[in-house]
Amino acid sequence: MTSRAIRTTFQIVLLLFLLLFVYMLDFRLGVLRLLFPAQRELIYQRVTLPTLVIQHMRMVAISSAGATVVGLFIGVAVTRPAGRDFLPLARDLSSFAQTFPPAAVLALAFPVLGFGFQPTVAALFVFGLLPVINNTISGIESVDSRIVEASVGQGMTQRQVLFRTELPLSARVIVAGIRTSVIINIGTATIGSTIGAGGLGTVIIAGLVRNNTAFVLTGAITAAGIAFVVDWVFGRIETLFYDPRERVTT
Amino acid sequence: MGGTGAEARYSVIEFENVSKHYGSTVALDDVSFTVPDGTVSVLIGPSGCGKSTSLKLVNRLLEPTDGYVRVDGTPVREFPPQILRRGIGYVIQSVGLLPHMTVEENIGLVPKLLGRHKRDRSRRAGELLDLIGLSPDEYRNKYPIQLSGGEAQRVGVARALAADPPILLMDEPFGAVDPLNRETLQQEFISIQRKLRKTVIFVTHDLDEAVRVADRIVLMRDGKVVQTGAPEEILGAPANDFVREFVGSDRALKRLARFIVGDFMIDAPSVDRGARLDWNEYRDFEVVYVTDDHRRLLGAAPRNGRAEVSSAGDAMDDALVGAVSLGSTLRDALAEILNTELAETPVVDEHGHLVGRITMTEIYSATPRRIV
Ligand SMILES: Nc1ncnc2c1ncn2[C@@H]1O[C@H](COP(=O)(O)OP(=O)(O)OP(=O)(O)O)[C@@H](O)[C@H]1O
Ligand SMILES: [Mg+2]
Repeated sequence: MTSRAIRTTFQIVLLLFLLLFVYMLDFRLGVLRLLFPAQRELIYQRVTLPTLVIQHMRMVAISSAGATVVGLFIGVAVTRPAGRDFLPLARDLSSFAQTFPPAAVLALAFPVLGFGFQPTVAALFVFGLLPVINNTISGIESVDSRIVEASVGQGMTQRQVLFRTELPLSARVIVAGIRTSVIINIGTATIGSTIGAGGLGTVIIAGLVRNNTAFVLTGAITAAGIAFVVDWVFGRIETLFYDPRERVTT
Repeated sequence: MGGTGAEARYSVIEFENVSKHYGSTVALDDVSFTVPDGTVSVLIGPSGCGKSTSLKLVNRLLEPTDGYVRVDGTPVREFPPQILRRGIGYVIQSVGLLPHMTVEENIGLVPKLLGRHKRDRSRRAGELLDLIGLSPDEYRNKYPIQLSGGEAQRVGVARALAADPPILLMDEPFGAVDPLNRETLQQEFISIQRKLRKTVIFVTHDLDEAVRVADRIVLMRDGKVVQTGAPEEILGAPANDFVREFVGSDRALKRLARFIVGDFMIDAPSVDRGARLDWNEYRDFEVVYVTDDHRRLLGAAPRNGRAEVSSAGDAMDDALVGAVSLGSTLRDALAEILNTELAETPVVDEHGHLVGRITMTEIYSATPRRIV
């Protein structure tokens, strides 16, 4: 088997495991019983796991979609001639903000936005924004200035240069930024449960409170599994775009 | 350019007292020159003398600090930049191709900007690939990274020609190609230009290239024009020491590359292979050429002090078969003369028919010399 085939097999097995773990109660019970033979309470009863997954992914989807749109817009804006003055600011700000602990962002957001879903999505949005801005800027900046000049020289308008040259050539880097943003948010969204936003954090926190490792692991495994699968999907999406390092084959 | 955008024909390019400053750097200082309709002007000079800057003033990638750049009498700044640029082919070193587009998409770039239909763009790309000597079927769908340096340069030229603009700007178009390929590309460019008659500004570092492709040379130094003229003028009469040094001590030799054998050759004495060769008839000649029934050159019969009559076939030394073609340059002819034991070289046409000869006298006649 080639390494590629091994990877694909692994990914399919993982996806299958995730689906069974989330949707087949008996399967999950079996796995957890194997891991925690001494634990009596293995299944979190108050909310079903599929519901938690949906809550979780809803937060991630909304925040990341917003972060992608706004991040792309900011990244493009500060690389235009008119917005160049703000480029260093945008770059510093996003680097700085990335060093901020997620819990702190949440702590800052909830006095303003209250408890639950909204402040969590807002915090995730802020977090998700940064990799998108960063990668959009560095993607566009890494396009060879001579190629841009050649495009202008052929008679493209500024908009055409952006859409026909700069964005296609930096798409891979930008998608990688979106990927990072989404993956970070899948993990970070678990802390939203501390302020009552639901999601996979709910079962983890319940586990921590009741000293039930099976609960903690249920949430962690599911979140990690989702992150894995989403990462894999993004990996495939990236290959659709131009890669400066790769020979294109016909 | 008129209401129809890039369709209109404009073609004379004029620089009138043009200066360009980058902050405190003076890149161009009061530059004036004219590129006549349908001719090639080569900008040449040491690195940093302002060649690329001059080109970019024509398609408004840069604006002059002072003076005017005109196209057919109209200052370029009166054209909207995008419209102007779509009517001017722009060729730069191989990086100019867009790496995420196929050869066909690259060639179709400007036609697409002009709103041409996909089918027309595709057909046009095919025509141009044929013109530049690349098989359309094979190359259409390749990406720039799959091309050799020479192929990429050809595609760059094809792209510049795609919308059939009357003006071409070429910034060291063959700079990244090895010398052998470069010469082929130059020859292809010359023959394409002979057909299409574009108004071309061509930037190069390479004097041999300039001499080969130029109708006129604009020699620059430190942002100023030092001398303009036909290559043979500049090589024959350098305006000052800088030019003399720039063109090199072999300038007389380089100059020979400007002259075509067909314009200088004289009649060549010849006999048929089967005929008798009577040296008394050829008293004034050191060599008589031997041909077949169709006047195809077979070889040369050198006199070597002989006076007797013999069969032409026997007198012929078939080792002496070197020849230059009608379209070769006097430089090629001189090289051929130095290659053979004879003091001259025969000239043949494309079918190998003997049409004349070049001796050292013709070489000298093209070389300007003072009477001592
Ligand atoms: N964007 C710029 N900013 C400042 N100075 C510049 C800029 N572009 C060019 N120059 C300067 O202007 C001068 C002319 O540059 P230009 O690129 O026209 O030279 P060139 O003749 O094309 O040189 P080369 O043969 O090396 O390509 C040089 O001294 C260069 O350093
Ligand atoms: Mg240059």
